[in-house]
Amino acid sequence: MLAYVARRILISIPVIVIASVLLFWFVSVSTDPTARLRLSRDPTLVDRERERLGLNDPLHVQYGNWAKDFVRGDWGESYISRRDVSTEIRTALWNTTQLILWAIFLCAIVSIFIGVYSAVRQYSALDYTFTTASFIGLSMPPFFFGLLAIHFLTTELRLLLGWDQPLFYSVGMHSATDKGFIDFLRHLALPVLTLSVQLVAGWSRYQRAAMLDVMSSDYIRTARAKGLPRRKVIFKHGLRNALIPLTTVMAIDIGALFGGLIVTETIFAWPGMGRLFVQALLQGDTAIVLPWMIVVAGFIIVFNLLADVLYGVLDPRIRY
Amino acid sequence: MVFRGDDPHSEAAGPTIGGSGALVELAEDDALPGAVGGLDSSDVVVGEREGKPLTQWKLFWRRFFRHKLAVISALVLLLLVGMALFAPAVTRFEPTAQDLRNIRQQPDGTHWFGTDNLGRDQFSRVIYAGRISLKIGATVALISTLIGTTLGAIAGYVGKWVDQLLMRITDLFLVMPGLAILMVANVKFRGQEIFGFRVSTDNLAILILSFVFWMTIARVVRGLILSLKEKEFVEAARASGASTFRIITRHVLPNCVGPIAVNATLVVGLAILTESALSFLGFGVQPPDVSWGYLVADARGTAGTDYAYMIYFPGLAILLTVLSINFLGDGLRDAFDPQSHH
Repeated sequence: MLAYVARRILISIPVIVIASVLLFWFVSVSTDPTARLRLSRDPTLVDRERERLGLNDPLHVQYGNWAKDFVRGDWGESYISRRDVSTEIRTALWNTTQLILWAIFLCAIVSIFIGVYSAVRQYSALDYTFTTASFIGLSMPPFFFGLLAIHFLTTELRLLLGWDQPLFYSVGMHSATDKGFIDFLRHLALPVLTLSVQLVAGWSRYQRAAMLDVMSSDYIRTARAKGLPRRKVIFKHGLRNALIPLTTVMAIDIGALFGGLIVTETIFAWPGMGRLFVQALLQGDTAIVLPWMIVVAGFIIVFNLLADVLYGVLDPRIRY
Repeated sequence: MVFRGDDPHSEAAGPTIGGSGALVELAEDDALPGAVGGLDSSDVVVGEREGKPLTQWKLFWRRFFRHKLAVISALVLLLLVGMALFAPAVTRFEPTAQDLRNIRQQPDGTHWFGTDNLGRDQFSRVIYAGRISLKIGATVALISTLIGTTLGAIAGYVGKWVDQLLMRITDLFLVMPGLAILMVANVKFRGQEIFGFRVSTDNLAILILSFVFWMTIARVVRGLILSLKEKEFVEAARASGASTFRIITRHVLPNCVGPIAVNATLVVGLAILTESALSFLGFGVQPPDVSWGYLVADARGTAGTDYAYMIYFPGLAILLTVLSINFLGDGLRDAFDPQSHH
């Protein structure tokens, strides 16, 4: 087991290195850090800046220098805010993580409930409802759902309740005057809801399939045959085993979320990774782009690794 | 929204990357309302009434037509495509014609979807935007399928280090932050000439989107071919002197049509969703090209006002299209592979 984990980690290292080379090349040819200086009256400014940033070196030298700095934790400085890129990303990452943590907590519970119900009551009216709803959820563009949420759950709901302030806010993480936890939750609700639509749609289908698979297995029939109560068969013998595939899918999906909430965070002005990236691109702050992509790719790789390892830990039948 | 393909035929090479778009999972074990009871034992019965056997295609259509939702979805898609193709005949107003005396009209008998802040007819705008959204979806799916099938077929059939190399490249593409890369590429190439051609923003979207959806198809095709190439009929073809190219194109690939078609269908939906997200963020098509995502972005300020109808119609157009495509994909899967459900 330990040897397997060690081997998987070792395989991941070249993947990260090659990914960073490709991303470095891609960002180098696609972005121009001096573009924002083009309007300057000083004709030598662009050349001096290119020299200072080492852009006249061959690409592999540039990569070497960049990689050395990156590993040391020197990720450069934002052209706009003049703060360290590492600080910017750390702040944004924490904000995104809060969104993700609440969402996965909620989605896991709801998805497991729906999945188990749909499997145990296969072909019941509610099973069909959940199935159709999940198809709609997977086909729903997040920006459309987000705007509908703003329209109905912020404005219309406020009018309905007759309040001065909406119950759910649609901009940012905190109010200017109130930094309490309740206020945070009122900001958190809509982005989490928007994110949950697709997660629940995907995960509940997965859980249903896994549960159906388990419930038709021999040991479930044995458990039933020896007269165990239905509840015990479903939850202790069935659900516990049916959770294994969902766990790995969740790990993979979560890894993709750190850089995957670009639309949701933009709509709700949530100061996370996605919004940081959009702002950086719109303002030509190219210093953010490469470190951002490396961090996001890193999360995807690490969570994939985690999924592989989890699968082995949770299911002792898997041998390496 | 990354595409995950855990096709039952594909290799179980550990979990693949997937954002929130776990579309293919639906495939594994689900029955849809319309599909219920459709796939019973009578499925394998060969047309006993006439006493002559049914062809593969007749069986395919028979199974497909049992999946009611898929059939309805196919009709809806036909209608949408038809309206997009014959947009001038369907609409009463030019999509760009401004009418400043009739701005922000609520939907009524004249302007079915209302008018926008310049008095342009929303119905006409949505129909014309559909031309671009649907074109992008279909073309991206076509190109991705070609790339994916080619690479998958080579990897699967040639094997050895070629397979290793191609699959590692596929893995690499799967760990890349797709949407972010598309956004950077859009900024880079917008308004520039590519190989001497002036590329309009919708064609640019097609070009860059085609790079991120081929991986699943490559994996699926590779897995299929790995198992097919050991079959006797391939051996027979090889023994009778057929070239590798001929074996792949004439003997092996035709047996992969089902999974390829299903995945291509799902890519249409994913491409439309991704394009609309890009356009919504401002990194997709730009005027004068207008897509559904752009229309929603254009109307985003109306959320929370009486003019929110501006958001509903283009948004619903995306939802309806992608939903129909996903149901259609589900129906195709059933029809191609009756064992997949039960």
